[in-house]
Amino acid sequence: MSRHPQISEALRNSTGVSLSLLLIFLAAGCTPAPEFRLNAVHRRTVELESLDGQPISDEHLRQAGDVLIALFGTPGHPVFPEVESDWASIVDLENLKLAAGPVASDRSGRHSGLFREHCAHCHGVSGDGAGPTAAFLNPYPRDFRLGKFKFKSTRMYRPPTDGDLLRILEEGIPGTAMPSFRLLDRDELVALVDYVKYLTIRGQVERALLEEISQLNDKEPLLASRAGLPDDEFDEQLSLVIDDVVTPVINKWLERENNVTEVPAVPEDLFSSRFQWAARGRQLFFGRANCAQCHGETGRGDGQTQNHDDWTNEWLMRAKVDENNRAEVAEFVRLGALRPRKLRPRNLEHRVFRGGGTPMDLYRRIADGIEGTTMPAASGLSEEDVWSLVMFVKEPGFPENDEGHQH
Amino acid sequence: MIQLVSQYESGSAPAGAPPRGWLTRYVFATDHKIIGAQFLFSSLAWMAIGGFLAMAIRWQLAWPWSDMPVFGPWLFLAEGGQISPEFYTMLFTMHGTIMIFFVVIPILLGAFGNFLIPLMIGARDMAFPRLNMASYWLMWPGFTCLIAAFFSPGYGPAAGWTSYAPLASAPEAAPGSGLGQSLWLASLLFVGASSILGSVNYITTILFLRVRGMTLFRMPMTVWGLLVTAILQALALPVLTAALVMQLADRHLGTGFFMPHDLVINNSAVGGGAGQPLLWQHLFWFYSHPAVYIMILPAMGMVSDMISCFSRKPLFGYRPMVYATCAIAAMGFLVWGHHMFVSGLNPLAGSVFMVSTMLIALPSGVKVFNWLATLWGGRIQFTTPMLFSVAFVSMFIIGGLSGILMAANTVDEYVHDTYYIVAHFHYVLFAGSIMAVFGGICYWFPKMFGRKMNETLGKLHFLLTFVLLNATFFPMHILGWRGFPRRYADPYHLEQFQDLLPLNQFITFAALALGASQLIFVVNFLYSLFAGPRAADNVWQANTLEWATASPPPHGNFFREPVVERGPYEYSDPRSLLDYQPQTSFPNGSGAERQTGEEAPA
Amino acid sequence: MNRLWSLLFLAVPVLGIVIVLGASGVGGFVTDRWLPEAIGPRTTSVDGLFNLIHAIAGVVFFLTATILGVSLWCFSADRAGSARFWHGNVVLELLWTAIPAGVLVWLAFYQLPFWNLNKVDAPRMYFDPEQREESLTPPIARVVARQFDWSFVYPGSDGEFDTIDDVVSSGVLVLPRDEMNVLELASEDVIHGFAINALRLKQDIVPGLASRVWFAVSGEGEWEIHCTELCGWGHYRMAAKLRVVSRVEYDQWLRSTLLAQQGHDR
Repeated sequence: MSRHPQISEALRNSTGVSLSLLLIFLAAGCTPAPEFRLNAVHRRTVELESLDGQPISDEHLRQAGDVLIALFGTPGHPVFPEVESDWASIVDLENLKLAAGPVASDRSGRHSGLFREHCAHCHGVSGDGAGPTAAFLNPYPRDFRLGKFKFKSTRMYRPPTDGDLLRILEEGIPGTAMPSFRLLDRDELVALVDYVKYLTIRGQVERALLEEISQLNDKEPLLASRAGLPDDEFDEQLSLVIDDVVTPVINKWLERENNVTEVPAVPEDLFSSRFQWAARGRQLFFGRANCAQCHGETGRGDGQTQNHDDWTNEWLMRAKVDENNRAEVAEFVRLGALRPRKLRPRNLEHRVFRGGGTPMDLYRRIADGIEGTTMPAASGLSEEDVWSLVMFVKEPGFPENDEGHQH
Repeated sequence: MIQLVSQYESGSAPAGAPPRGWLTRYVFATDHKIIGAQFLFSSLAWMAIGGFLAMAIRWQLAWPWSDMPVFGPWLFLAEGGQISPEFYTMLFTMHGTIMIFFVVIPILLGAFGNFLIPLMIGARDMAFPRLNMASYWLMWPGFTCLIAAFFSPGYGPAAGWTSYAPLASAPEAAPGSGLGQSLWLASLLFVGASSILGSVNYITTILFLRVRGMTLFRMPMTVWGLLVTAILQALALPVLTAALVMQLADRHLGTGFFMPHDLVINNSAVGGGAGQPLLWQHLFWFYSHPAVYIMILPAMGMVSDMISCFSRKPLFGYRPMVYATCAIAAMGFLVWGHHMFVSGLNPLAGSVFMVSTMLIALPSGVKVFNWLATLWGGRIQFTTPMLFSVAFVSMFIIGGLSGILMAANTVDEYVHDTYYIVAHFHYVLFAGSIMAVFGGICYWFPKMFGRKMNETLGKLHFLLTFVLLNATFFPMHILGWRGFPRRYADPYHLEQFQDLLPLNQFITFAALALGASQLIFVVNFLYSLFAGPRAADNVWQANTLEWATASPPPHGNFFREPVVERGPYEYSDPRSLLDYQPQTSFPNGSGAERQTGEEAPA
Repeated sequence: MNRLWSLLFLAVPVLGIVIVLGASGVGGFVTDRWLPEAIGPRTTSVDGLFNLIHAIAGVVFFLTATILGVSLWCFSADRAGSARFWHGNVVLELLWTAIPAGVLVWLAFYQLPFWNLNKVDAPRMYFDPEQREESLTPPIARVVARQFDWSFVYPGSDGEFDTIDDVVSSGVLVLPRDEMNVLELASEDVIHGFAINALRLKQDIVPGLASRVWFAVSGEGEWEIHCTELCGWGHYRMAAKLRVVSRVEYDQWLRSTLLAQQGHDR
C-alpha cells in the first residue's frame, strides 16, 4: 500500500512539500527513537523467585541488554541471529526492515514502519501487548514475549505456523479488538508476520536471559563487557550464550510444521443429521467431556471464572502476588503489567468464536485446547466425540436454559 | 415603565454603588462590563487551547503516525512521540467541545452580550447583576471539569463533541468513555446552567430596562440578535440539560435511556434497559441545531451594526432583518433532523426535515442581500472592524450555500460525515462567527478598555487570517467531494484517499500558518490593553447608545439618563450637518418623530 | 488606496470558481477527480443532483460575492460623494425573498423522488397473494459491524439467517452485478456507519435497530467499504472490500465458500 500513487504535479512541485520534508527531518531529529522496553515484569518476577527479591545487578542487566542488541538490534534497525543456516528460514531480514522503524514511504512508494503504523498502539513497540491503547481493551492485546498463541493449527506448546499468523491478520479475531487487515497488500502482511515472529523470539530470549542472570552470583559475568574486549573474544562468549539460551527457543520454531494437528475429514452426515450429532454433543458437554464445569450449566461461560490466563499467571503466580493486595499489584502495574482480569470461559450463547466458526476451527479448539488458557486439549475423546461437541456448540438451538439446569 | 424610572432615579438599583475592594470590583464583580471582560478573557484563553488541539489534528492528517514535534516525545515517550489513535479521537472531541461551548457561545453571549446589552439599551446594568455574576462563576466548575478530563484515563473524552450513545454512554466502549466522559457531561451541565442564567438575565434586561424612547424597533441589530439568541437558549438548553443528565444516569445509575437491550461492547455486557440510541441524537440535536443559530445570530447582529456604521449608511431593510432573525430562530427548532438523515431515522421524516431545512436558507439569504444593499451606495471606510465584517458576509455566502447542498438529503447521504461538512461548519463558525468576533473586539475595544487597538497590526492580522483561513478550509470542500471521511486518525488506510495526502499537507501548512498569525492579534490585544492610545468617547462616530457615554463607561454606565430619539442607523441624513446622528440627540430639522425603516430610497 | 482591499474580496468569487472548476477535472490541477468513480444507477442519480446544486450555488455565489466586491470598490470612501440615505425597499425585499424561495422549494421537491427511490421504497420482488402486494426483496446478505471490523453473513441455501448453512465472509462483501441487492445491517456493539463512496451510499447502523440498504452495481470490480460514524479509537481502520462479480461467479463463490466452511472441500 503506497502513500502517494498519484500526486498532482502542481502539489508535488510546490515548495510546501519540500518544506514538509524539512519539518519532518527537524521533528525526527528532536524525537528520541523508541527503544525495546526491558521486560521489567519478568525481571521482578525472577528476582522474587530466585533472589528473594534482591535486585539483579545493574552489570548483569547491562550485559543482557548488550546480548539482546547484538542478537536482535533495535526497533529502528532490527537484525536476526543467523547462527545456523536454517535460522534464516524463520525470519526474512528484508521483511523486518519493511515492518520496523518509523512510519515512512520511499520514493517508489514502498511503505515501511508497518508495525508502528498498524500494531504498536495496542501491542507496543516491544511486542509486550502493552501499547498505549492496551489497557482499555478487553481482552488485552497479545503479549508476544511469552511465545504463546491461542488460535493456531499446531499442538499445545508449539509455535504457530506462518499460515496461522497470516490468517489472524486477514480475518481478525471476532469478539476482540483485533481487526482484519485485509486491505493491506499481501507482502505487507507477510512482513508483519515475520516481525511478529521476530518480536516473539526476541521476547522469549529476553525472558530466558533474565532467568539465566538471576541464577548467576554477583562476581560471575554473563559475558565480559564489549568495551574491554577484542571483537572475536566477544563473539566467542556470545556464541556460548546463544547455545545456552537462543538455540532451544529457535529449535521449537524450526519444528513447528511437524506439529500441525491434522483435522480428520468431516463426517459425511455431519450436516444432514446435525441434530443427532448435537444431541450426542449435549450429553458429552454435560457429562464425560466435562465442558459445563467451565462453560457453565447454561453455556454462558459462568462456570469456573476464578482463573487467570498464562500471561497474567506468569507474574501473578510465579511472583506469588496476592491479586487482592492493591500495593503488590500496583508494583507490577508500574513495571508495565496490565491489571489482572479473570479469565472468562466463552459464552457459547453469543456464538462468537474467536478462532473461527467453521467446524474445522472448532474441532481444533476442542481437540488441541487453547494455549495460555484453562481450555485443555481434549483427552479421552474420540473423533466422533469431538465432532459431536462441535455440532452442539454450533447448533443454534443451544442452550435452552431451564433444560440446562436439569442436567 | 416603572423600572425605567427607578433605574435612574433611585440611584441604587440595579447598578448600586461602585464596589470599593479589588476583589469585588474585578473578580466577584456584579458590573456587567467587568463580567463581559471576564468572559472575553477566559474565552480567548480557551480559543488558544482549542487552536493547539486543531494544530495537532492537522499534524496527524498530514504526517500520520510520524513523531509529533514538541508534544509527542512528552506524551508518548515509549512510542517515540507517535500519536495514539485514542489520543486523536480525544483531540477532535475536545477541539469541538472547547470551540463551541467554551469559545464561540461564551464570547458572543457572555462577552459581547454582557458588555453591550445594557449599554446599547441605556440601562445602568443587567436586571439581575448577582445572577449575572453567578452565570460567569458557574463557568469555572465547567472549566475545571474539562481540564480534569484531559488527565483522565485515555487522555479524555473521545466520543466526538456529539457524544453519541452508546459509544459515549458505555464506559467500556472507548478509552475516553470512562471518567473523562463523566467529566465532560458535568462540564457541559455547568456551562449550560451558566448560559440559562445568562439568557434569563438578557431577556429580562432587554424587555424591561430599555430607556425612554428605546422601542423594540429602535434597538440595534446586535441587541436583536442577542435577544432572539437568549430566547433560543432559554428554550433549547433545558433539553440538552435533560439529555446530559440522562446520559449521566445511564452511566452511573444503571438506567438505560440510550442503551439497547443486551448489548456487549468490548467484551463486557453493558446497559440493562431497552433504550434507544437515537433518542440521544434527537435530544442532542434539538439543542445543538438551535445552537448553530445561537453561534451566528449575535454575530450577524454585530456585523449589521458595523457594516452600517462603516458604510455611513442606514442599514438596508431594518425590519426585514429583524423578521429574518426571528424567522431563523423559529425555524431553527424544526430542522434538527437534518443531522440525522442517515442515522436510521425514518427516511420519510428525513424528507420533512429536508423541506424545512431548505426553507431556513431563505431568511439567511435575505440577510445577505440586505447587507449587500447596505454596502451599495455607501461611503465605505476600510477599518479593521469593517474588513472583518465584510469578510463575515463574504464567507457566510460560502458557508450558507454549501448548507443548501447538505439540506438536500439525497446528496447529503454522500457528503455526510465527510470533510465537506467540516468545511461547511468551519466557514460558518470560524470564517463567520469568529471573524465577527475579531471585528467586534476591534470595534468595541476602545469602549471596553478606553484605548484603541493598533490599526496596522489589526489589518495585517485580518489579511493573514482571511487568506489563510480560506487556504485551510476551502480545500476541505475538495476533500469532501471525494468522500474523505472526518474523524479518521489515518484516512490513507483506504486506497481511495491516498492521493489526497499532498492536499492535506497543504491544508496543514495553511492551518499552522493561520495559527501562527493569531500571534499578531495576541500582541496587538495585549499591547493595546496597556499601552494603546487613549480613545475618544465616540471613536467611530457611531449612532448607538454605547458611544454616548465615556470610554470606558463609568459604573452605572451613563452620567445622566439618555433619552432615545431615533433608530440606530441614521447615517448620512442629508438634512443633518454630520454624517451620523446619535440615538440620543435631537435631530437637526424636523424629523423628530420619524421611525426608521419606513422610508423608501431617495 | 484603501479601496485596494476590495480586490481581496473580489478575488474570492474568481479564485473560488477557478479552484472548483479545477477540482472538478476541468483543469485537473488540484486533484484528478471531482467525484469518485460511479458504479451504478444510484450513483448517477446522486451525481446529477450534486452537480445541479453546485451549479445553482456556484452562480449565486459568483453573483453575490462579485456584487460584494464591486460595491466595495465603487463605494469606497476614497471616492468623493456622500452615502445614500436609503432605509429599504419593499419591492426588493419581496423579490429577493420570493425568487430564492421558489428555487429552494423547487429543489426540495425535485430531489424528493431520488430520495424515495434510494431510501424509502424498498425493492419488491413478486406478487404475494396473501399480502395483496409485492413482497419485499429479501436481503442477500447481512452486514455485521463490530468495533472495528466488518463481516458479511449470507443466509445460504435455506434463505434464513442464523442457521447452520450461513456463509460468513470476513472483510469482503461479494455481490452479483446488475442486480438489485438488498443488505440487512446489524451492529454488535456501538453505532457504525456503512459507507461505499463509489455508490454514494451511507447508512448508520444502530444497535438494536434493523435497517436496510439496496443498490445495484453495473460493473465488476473491487471497491472500498468504510465506517462513517465514530465508533471508537479504531474508527479509522474499520474498512472492508466490496467485490462485484457475475452471477455465475457469485453462485460458484457462495457454494465453494460454504463447502470450505463445512470442511467438505478436503
